[in-house]
Amino acid sequence: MQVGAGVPFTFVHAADLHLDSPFKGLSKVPAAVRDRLRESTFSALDGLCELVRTEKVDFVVLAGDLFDAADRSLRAQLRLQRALGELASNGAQVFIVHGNHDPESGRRAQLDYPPGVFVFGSGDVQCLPAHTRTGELAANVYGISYPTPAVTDNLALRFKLREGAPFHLALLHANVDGDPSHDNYAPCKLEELSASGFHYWALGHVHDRRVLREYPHVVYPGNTQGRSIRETGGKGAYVVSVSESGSIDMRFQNLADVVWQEAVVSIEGVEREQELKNRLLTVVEEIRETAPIRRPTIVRIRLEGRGDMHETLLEPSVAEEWLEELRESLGAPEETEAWIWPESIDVRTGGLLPLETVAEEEGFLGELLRSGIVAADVEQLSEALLDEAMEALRRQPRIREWLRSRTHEERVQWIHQAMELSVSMLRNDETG
Amino acid sequence: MYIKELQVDGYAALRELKVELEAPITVIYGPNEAGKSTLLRFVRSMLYGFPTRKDLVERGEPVFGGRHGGRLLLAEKSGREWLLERYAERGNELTLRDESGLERRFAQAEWERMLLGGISERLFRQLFSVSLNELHELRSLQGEEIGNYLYHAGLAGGSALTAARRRIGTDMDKLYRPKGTTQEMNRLLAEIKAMETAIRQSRDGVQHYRETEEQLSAIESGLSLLEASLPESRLQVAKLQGAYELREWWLRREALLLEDEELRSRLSDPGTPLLSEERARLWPELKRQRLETAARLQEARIAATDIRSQRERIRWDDSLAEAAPEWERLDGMREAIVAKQEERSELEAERRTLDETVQSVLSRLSPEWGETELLSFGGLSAEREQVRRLQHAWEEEDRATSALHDELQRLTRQEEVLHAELRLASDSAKRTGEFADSVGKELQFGHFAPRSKSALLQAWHQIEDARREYERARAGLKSENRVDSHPSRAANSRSNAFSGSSRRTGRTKLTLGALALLFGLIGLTIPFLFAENGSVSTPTYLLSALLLLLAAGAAIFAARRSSGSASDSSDAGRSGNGAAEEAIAIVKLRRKLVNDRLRQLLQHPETAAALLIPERSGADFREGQPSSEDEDAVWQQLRELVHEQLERLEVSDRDSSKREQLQERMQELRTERELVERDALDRRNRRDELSERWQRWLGDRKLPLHLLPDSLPELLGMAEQGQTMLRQRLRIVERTQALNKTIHEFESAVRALMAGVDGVAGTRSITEAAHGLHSVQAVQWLYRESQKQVSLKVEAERIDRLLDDAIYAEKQAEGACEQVEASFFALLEETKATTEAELEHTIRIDERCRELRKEAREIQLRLESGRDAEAQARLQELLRAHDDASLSALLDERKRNLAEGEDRRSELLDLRGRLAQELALQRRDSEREDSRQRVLELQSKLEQLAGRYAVLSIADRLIVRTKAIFEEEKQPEVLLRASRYFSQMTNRAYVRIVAPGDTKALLAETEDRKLLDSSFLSRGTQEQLYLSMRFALCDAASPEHPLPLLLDDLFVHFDERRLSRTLPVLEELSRTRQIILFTCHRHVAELIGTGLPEARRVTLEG
Repeated sequence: MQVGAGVPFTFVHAADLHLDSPFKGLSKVPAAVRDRLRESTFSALDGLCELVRTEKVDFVVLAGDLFDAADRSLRAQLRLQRALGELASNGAQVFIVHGNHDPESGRRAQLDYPPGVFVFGSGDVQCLPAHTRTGELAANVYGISYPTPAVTDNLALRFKLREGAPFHLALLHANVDGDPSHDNYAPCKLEELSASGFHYWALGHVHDRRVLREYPHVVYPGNTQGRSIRETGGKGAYVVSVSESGSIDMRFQNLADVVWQEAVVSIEGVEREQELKNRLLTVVEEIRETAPIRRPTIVRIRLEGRGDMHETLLEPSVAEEWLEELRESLGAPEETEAWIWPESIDVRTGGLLPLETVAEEEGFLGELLRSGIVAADVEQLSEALLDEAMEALRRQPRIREWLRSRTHEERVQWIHQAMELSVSMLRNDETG
Repeated sequence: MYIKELQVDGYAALRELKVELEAPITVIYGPNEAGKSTLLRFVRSMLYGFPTRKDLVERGEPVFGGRHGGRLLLAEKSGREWLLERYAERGNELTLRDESGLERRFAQAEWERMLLGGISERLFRQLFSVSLNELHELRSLQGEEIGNYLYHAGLAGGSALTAARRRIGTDMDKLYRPKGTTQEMNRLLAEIKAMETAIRQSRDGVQHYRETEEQLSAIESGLSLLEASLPESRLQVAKLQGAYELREWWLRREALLLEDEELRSRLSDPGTPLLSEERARLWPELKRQRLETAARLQEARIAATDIRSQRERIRWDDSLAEAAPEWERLDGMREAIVAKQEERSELEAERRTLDETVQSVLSRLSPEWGETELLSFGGLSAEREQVRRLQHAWEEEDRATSALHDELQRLTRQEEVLHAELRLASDSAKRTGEFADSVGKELQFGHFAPRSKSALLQAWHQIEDARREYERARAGLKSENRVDSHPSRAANSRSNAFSGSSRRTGRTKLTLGALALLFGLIGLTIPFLFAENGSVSTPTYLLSALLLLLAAGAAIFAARRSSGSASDSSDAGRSGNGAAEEAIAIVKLRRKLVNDRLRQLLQHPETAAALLIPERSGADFREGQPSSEDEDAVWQQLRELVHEQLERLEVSDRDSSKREQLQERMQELRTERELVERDALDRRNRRDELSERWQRWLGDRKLPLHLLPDSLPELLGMAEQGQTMLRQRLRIVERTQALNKTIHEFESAVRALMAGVDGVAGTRSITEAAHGLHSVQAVQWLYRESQKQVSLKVEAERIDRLLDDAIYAEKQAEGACEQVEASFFALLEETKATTEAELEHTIRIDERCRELRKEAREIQLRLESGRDAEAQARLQELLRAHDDASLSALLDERKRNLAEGEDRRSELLDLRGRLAQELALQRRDSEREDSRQRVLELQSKLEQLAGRYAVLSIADRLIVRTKAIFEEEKQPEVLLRASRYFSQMTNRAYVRIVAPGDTKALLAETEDRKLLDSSFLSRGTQEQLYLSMRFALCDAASPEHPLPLLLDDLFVHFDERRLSRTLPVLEELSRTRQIILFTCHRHVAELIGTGLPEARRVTLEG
């Protein structure tokens, strides 16, 4: 596809701001951490504004999920309103589509946006001209919002190019090629997008930033601030510069105020508690040192490997105690700007003997492990086992729902842990 | 494991018991109380330890002594032997010795695991050490633990499985329970639910904010609209209000103008300008003045007339008035005159009294005396002096005569007294002389030589001294041992002598010296003593000193004569003959001296001397003691005689001197008497002379001659009195004459004045009356009359002056009247009014018009103020167009509109404020709102816990599943074996035992495949079934360490046949494990004994 001689311009592509939506997986958080986290999505938004100002960006496209309508957070609305006003007053146009979290139907949960901010409707794909700061037509921006939270139509197919602009930019909240870790809304295929004739698909919905393709660009900028331990690493927006010739230069700008990290510690060879503690501290210190900018970090530590400590760690409260100790040795988050907060310790360790070996034994334990392994092997079996095990909890809709949403991998993980537990308990008696 | 031997040290009733159990089957037989069950318990305790004291039966404290505990000899299958030792005192610690004697100690758990194959005590009790009671506990078969053994014999230590499940169950229960509240997950769920409910119930923040914003903007627009309309409406209201308020004024003004017009039309010439206000005001003033002046004139006239008539009424007597000062003077004298008249009459009376008194005095003085004589009895004081002197001389003579007479008498008496005394004195002198002579005769010594007292005394003293000398000399001659009649003197001499000897020798004994000294001292003191005792004169001292010296000399002498031997002075005195001679010489000398003296004393000294100092030889001297006593008596006599003589001499001396005195006195008296008699003669002559002079004086004075000078003072007093009265009478007469003169003068003056008064007609009556009266009273009356006339005259003059004033005032009033009249006419002229009434009418109308116009002007001003011309016009129009009611209604309406507008505005403002605040509040709250975050945190916590729960639950599930698999696979083996045993015991009456998985019941299958619930079987059969099960379970539970089977009389309900059928089963069992049977039934024991040849019997004695 030939790009006509256009004017060079720069725009910022961001998505999934999820302003003021709560953070998952936190418990027993001190006030300093919690406050910082709560403020972090807004900090990212402020960073975006700052970016637009410093980079003299011509316009901004926001690809949905600016906030969670379900949260009905007035704070999010007010801050968004203010930030958009700031952007507009800075001379940058803002184009917005709504996604599954902030659909049009949630209109009543929205405040009005200031002038200079264009929001695409949900009826049909609209086309709006985007100008440079000097007033020249830079591109046509196309977009469509979600009318409801759940859109299963392939909205991408509705985008039709309209001639008359040097650059065509499509703005959409969608799941390309059915990313399993995200809800499959507005499903579409990468081929469809590539073939549509747009120069840049500014997508939202997937929180991991990824460039699916270049020329035409199909880009997920990821969210601007990690919101759980699953959203680790740098988060932010792309500053996209389009040259006269139409070549696209993308620069990722980290906007996250708090970084989520996962660290793996092996218990292999660890015999004493102090040793393990030292390892934990070392890992945390490494994270602190390797962090590009000194930002607050939330760390989840995963204990892995097989070792003597395994059985100790299986005790119900041991992991918690370790975590507390680690937090204590790191000092209170109030004391420093770039704190590190160990969020949890995930125990994935195993006993010295691999389960598989034990499973080959005759007797009760062998029989038990064999049945466990069988269950872990097949998805349906694992689900059945979980259902059976969680019978007592099924009456709690909240937990039932949560259980239903667990993946096979998670279930397998649990089954493994259960097997480890069984082995440690029964083996103790057997051997001793 | 086999129990080879039981060694009981002390357990319950057992003591020091040893039981060997060699055979695979041992029957322990004994009667009741033999200790079978105790032995069973002993085995159990040895294997599993002694229970605590809670279970005393099981614990089995030794009753009959012995160490609580014992030993078991154990043997393994392999043949290894162990000696198990356990004593309660060691606290359940067990000791294990192997064959080599090596000792090992075990904890109970370790022991159980190693040698008992992990069989717990409970299981042991249920499976291996069974009594009838335990056999029947069907439940025990279905217990979890046994269940594990029953089905999971593949897994050694079923307890681990149970423990694991229990632990998992506990952990899960901590996390969640379907109906729990305190579990962590339950709590979280509840919390989340509560928070979500709260969030759901809370308003949608955004929507609320939007709505608030919309409301705010609506209000803003409404407010701006309202504010635009308000000023106009306010102006309208103000206008209407003004009009409404001014309406009254406007109406009034209209009315005023109308009235003015009417008034003007009433005037003849409406066009005439209004009279100036000043002039109009002048009119009433003039009218008032006119009235006033007229009244004043009238008053003045009346006053003048009054005064004039008053003046005419006054009349007075001029002459009387003119004489008023003279009358006044007389009146002043009047009182004095009255007093003088009274005085005159008093004086007259006094004069008459005096006359009478004078007459009486004269008659008393002398019948010959008249007043002239009395008066000529001049120089009264000179006369008096003369008479007094005469009288004095007379008295003096009298006194002198009587004194001389007295003196003479006294002298005569004294003479007589002296004569008497003289006679007395001469008698006493005669008596004294007789007495003296008688004394001399009586005395043996004769008369004393000296005749005077002093000579006698002297002679006596001398003789005494001489005698003393003599005595001393004699004493010195005599032995010193003798006691003298005069101890003091002897002592004196002795001491002197002694002291002298002691001084001289110096070698004599000290005692003697001291004694001598003492006596010497006494000797010295004696004179002093004498001096004090009596009147001792100087010679006595001298004598004493002399005596001392003599004594000293005698002592010296005596000492020398003692020829140096001073040891004994008596010896010395006796032996010294030479010295004695010398002393005798001295004595003689002394005696001679005494004789001399005696001679001087006595006229006949010889006798006395013979008596006193007889002649003596030396020997006499030495032994003259008796003679000495006589001498002393004589001395004594002599001394007394001397004294008597002395007294007598003294008395005669006194008498003679007294006689001499008396005679001297007698002589003196005689001379004195002669002198006194001479004086008395002189006095008598002089008295006669005086008497003569007195007679002469009386004659000169024509006084009666019988008068004595004594009565002269009385006479003189009377004469003086008479003269005084005469002088007094003279003064009274003079005074009376002076008074008469004054009174006369007064009366003549009165008469003269009254003569003048008579002429006045008005006062005639008074004058006449006055004439009739005493002049004094007349004066009083007329004086008063004249005073009255004077005052009348003064009054008249005053009224005259008043009259003048009144006339003047009258003239003044007239002038004023005229002036007012002139002004009045001038005013009338000015207003062109013809009459006064007309003038007044005009003035009144003018006045009213002026007021009306003024008020109208004021109202006009009020209406016009603050309004331009247009506004004024509009106002006028408005006032004209509306009547009061419509105007008020209009105003009210407008006002209401305005108020509504204002209210609305403030309401909106208020609302706006509130909404703005609300928005701010929402904004602020939104910053704080974090319930969602909290819910999510709880949720994540919940998920974490749910994950943990899932792991636990899955683990449990896996165990359960595996267990189920095992149950399916393993169950038949145990049951098969049990079925076999059962079939054998029942002689194939029952072929199978069935344990359905879904129920806990056990079923027995008969040969014809009928299933019977075990509870419906006969007791014996039941027991056989349970026993079969137990046997089977025993095999399953301890495959590696077959524990011995101890059965306590389990066969009591077995019939003989069944029992005998059981024996093969036992035999079969005994191949793998030791069997110990306890029984109290002989037949059982015997049956087993016969049925099982291997079995050994041990009999316990009861």
